[in-house]
Amino acid sequence: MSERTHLGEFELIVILALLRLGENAYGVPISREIERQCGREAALGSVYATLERLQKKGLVSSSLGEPTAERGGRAKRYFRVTAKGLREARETRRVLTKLWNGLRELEGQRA
Amino acid sequence: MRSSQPPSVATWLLEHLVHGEENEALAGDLLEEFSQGRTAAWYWYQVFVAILVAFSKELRARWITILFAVIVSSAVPYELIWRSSEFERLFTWVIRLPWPVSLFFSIACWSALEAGILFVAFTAYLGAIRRFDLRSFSIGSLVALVALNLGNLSLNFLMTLQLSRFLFFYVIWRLPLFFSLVLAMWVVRPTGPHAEATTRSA
Repeated sequence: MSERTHLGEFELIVILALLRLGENAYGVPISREIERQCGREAALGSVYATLERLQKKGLVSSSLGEPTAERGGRAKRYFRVTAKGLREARETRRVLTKLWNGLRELEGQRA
Repeated sequence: MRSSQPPSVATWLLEHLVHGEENEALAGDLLEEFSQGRTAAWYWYQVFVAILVAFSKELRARWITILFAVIVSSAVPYELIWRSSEFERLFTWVIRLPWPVSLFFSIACWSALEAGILFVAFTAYLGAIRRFDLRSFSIGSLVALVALNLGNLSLNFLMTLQLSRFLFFYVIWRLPLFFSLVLAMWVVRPTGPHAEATTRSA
């Protein structure tokens, strides 16, 4: 049996943002995607710290792009979700949906 | 008018205080965003968060050094020193000096005492991580001495407040030594892929 890695809320948000962005997932678009979808600003430092943690867990991999003048000669670091990361995201959705189902308090629009 | 360059102090702090392989990508991202119209305040905020995140990561990874600093700063018998007759004589002599000479002397005397403890503890730390060399010792000690003196300067102002004896002797008075020791150990910390293993083995 493979070892399970539990995802925190922000880790799940970052993984979903990476999946939405596809090939163009580096710091700036990831942070903007989170802002657009969640309505809250994600500081780049927090995004990178989460990505580093996800990389250590083997859920995300990264590769360096070409350095550009606009970035002061610094390269972009592109991230993508690994097969393990995809499995974890699916598993988290399954568990959350299971917990969500049948809760009358959370059904409908009224609080 | 908005400058075309981001705040240089913030960039310097980012480059020197945030380590790790993501640092370069992060610095590039911030520059890219700034060139596309973000403000200097936004840039400062991002750098501040990055430093805070890096610092908390360091604390978690190197909790043993924090524990060491807590033990060292807790072991100093401040109340005993304060009540000793030698200290009382010295203190009486210092406060009779004209201001601000009295302020500088009181900070210098107290910092000299704490610096002795700090040097012993810092040397022990460098020995434990097998990094004892003159450069590491000098850099760490210099940073720690600056922090220690600044901390003791602020203590002089805190002394004017009516704080409880316990809070003062057992918490506040120990903070400059604690933070300067943490800072010294942080400045000379091993970085790179084997850093955590080195610290753990120490």
